[in-house]
Amino acid sequence: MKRVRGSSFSLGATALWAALFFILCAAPALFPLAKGLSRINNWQPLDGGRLWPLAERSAGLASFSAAAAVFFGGGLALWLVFGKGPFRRAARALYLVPLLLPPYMTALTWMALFTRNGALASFFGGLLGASLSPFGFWGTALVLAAVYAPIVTWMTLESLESLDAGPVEAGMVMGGAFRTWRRGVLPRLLPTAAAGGALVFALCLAEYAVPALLQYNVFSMEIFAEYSRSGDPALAAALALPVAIPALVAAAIAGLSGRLLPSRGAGEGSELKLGRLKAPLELRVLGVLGAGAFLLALAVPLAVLLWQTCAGGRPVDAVTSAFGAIIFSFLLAASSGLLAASLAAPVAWAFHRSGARLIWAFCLIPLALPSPLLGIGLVELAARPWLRWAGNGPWLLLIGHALRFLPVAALVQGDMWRRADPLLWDASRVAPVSSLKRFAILWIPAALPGFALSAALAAAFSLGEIAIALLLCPPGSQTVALRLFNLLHYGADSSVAGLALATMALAAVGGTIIWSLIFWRRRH
Amino acid sequence: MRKGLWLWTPVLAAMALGCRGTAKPEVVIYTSVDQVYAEPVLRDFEAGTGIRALAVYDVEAAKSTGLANRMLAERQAPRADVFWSSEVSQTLRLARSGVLASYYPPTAADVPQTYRDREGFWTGMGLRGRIFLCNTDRVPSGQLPKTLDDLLSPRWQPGDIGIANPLFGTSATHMAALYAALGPERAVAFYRTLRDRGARVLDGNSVVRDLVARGDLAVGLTDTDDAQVALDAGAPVEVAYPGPTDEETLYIPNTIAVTNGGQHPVEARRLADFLCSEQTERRLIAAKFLSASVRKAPKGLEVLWREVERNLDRARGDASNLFLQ
Repeated sequence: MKRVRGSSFSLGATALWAALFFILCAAPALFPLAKGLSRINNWQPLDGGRLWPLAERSAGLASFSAAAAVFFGGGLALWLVFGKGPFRRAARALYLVPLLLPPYMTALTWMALFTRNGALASFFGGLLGASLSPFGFWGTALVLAAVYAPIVTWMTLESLESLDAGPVEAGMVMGGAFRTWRRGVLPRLLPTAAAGGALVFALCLAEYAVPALLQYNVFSMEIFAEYSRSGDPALAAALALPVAIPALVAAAIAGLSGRLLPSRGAGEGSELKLGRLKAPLELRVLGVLGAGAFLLALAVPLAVLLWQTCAGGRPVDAVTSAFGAIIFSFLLAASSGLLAASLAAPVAWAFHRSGARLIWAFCLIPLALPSPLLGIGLVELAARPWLRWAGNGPWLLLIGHALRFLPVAALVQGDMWRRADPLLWDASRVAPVSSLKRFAILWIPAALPGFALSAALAAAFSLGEIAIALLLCPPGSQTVALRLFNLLHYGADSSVAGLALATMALAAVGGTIIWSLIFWRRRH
Repeated sequence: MRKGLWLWTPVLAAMALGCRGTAKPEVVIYTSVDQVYAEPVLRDFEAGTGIRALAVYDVEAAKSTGLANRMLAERQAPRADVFWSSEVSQTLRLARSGVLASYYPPTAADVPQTYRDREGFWTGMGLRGRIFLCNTDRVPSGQLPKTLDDLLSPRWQPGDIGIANPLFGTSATHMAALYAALGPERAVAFYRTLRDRGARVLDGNSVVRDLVARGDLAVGLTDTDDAQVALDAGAPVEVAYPGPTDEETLYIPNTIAVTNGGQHPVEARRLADFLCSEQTERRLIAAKFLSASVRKAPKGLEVLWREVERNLDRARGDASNLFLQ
């Protein structure tokens, strides 16, 4: 199953797209650094002895979180394939829901259960004779894994469902279920799961709020502390550069994993009914563990939020008074998701057709840079006379969110293209139709599922984003996430919970509609 | 292809939102005061003047990426006309950076010099105190800490005491104020001992409040408005003011400042006048956001804000070395 490469996309053209892509994603964040290079002699903090130990802690936390996300998220994907019963169908519909709650909120819900007088702390205290604390390395890593595991589940599930039925079913007849899983299915799944893990690694590397809340010092805190002390975004950007190193390692792992994973071969049409495959015991155990972890990751935040909503005074008021913020947030999320998906489309296509694997490096490095740097860079860029128009209205915020989540959209679309049948492109090339018609009848229908999925994922991330929103939100407007965090400081737990639940419900409804449209298109 | 165009509806809607008309006079205000307190005040200003107040509210979780840094980044083309901070150190930093303009609100003529900048870059309005919040299930009423040094007592176990991270917010201002009042050596020794005795350094004052209210912490050092939330919620907590006669209590003023080069200078001054008025201050005291008036300030830790500003960088550097490892 060799990759069929398009002649129209040379490495040169891909390099051009890659350069444009990297400039879009990373240049605003690094712009303050370029402006402040002349102050390099005053950058004593860069010599600090704290930096490398903190960087090691960050890399350790991100590695463990990513590994746990792969373990549990991949396990859930397996269970979603061979599990049975109504819970499986419900899990299938809901497994992306944990992504809709900002990570900081998820951490708060776990804190409510496991702090000294929390509901579960006393239960486990009595059971184990020792208290379980949400604070420190383990609590932070597990919360991050719970938040981001759905990304791995989604990627693994897509990979499982795109396996070609022919060779696998032949393997079942010739070698039995066990050997088919070992030699046929797993080698194709692991690289995708590893790629999902690399994405989670980059997101965890840039994470600040959850480690700060759960008292685990990481490198991003040093960046924020230094920024707070000096107010110099150039210094903050310079301090952020070391995160490019572990991000590059993760990108290399993801890229190499992708090389091991063959893309869809020419003419592979039929999809596998995996439910018919009998999985080995250890994979079933992994699946059950993944399903259990998912149940906890979904049920705990929802139960705590529901409990807080019901225990409080008038949460409905919080939702109705935030109506403007809800509308603004959803419009912003939908617009920035669409913009990110549109900008990502040519990049993902160029990388796919040229066969280059560098897309991971180009995506993971910008993702690992702390998002406030992007916000600060855009504010400074918007102060230029030729860009002042962007400073009025919501444009800058829209651009900020789109650029922040552009790498996610590019990775999702790249992954979807990998599953497209290359025979279609070769056939279309010899067909006597114009390029425009080929684009309309072949490229758009093939691109739409990946486009919609990447837009939905970017929109989900946009809903919970606060660092860029705080820097770029137009005066007089507010996102739901900003309102949530403002209420959080005031201690309005029931209002926060009610508003968070309402936002999650609305996002879930929107996501379901998009999902239904995608499947409708796939069926027709 | 045309079928996909409906997907762009949100973008068109966002464009419509972005291009809405601005017939009424308006003023842009950035504020770190909780929205639940600031919004009604701004609505009253709108009703009284006909000027539309477009606000951007800060969030505690954003830390240093908050509004002060946004103002610094925007200084070439300022969008904010007025900055209303719930504390003083970020305002001092903005004044030093040339972001603020000099203005003496006539409504603040009766505010003592301690709570006004000599050059008019900011004016104080109302005070919040830095206090001990104690969980009464863990600390009986008669045994509440009375001085800052009481926090260093061996009677506290590791993990009993909590403070907000002194790198940010009022906790950073408090550390710098102790540097100014006690001298850097004594102040850093206090924080070092606190760390060595296992004090927990938390994400913010509201987290300190919540953990004290839940009983995770026995005592937390936090702000009066945070403590008030726990008291109003009926949590088993009690407040103690540092110092035998409260003289170790740091009272931090809200600060009002007008931006240098803002787009609505006339409206900005009217809003600053309104916010600095005794009427607004009384209203926020009644709402329990402020604990005292700058016009009748209680006796507390005596500091010069210029000295606090001078010590901010050093205190933050030491805080990084002590707590960020």
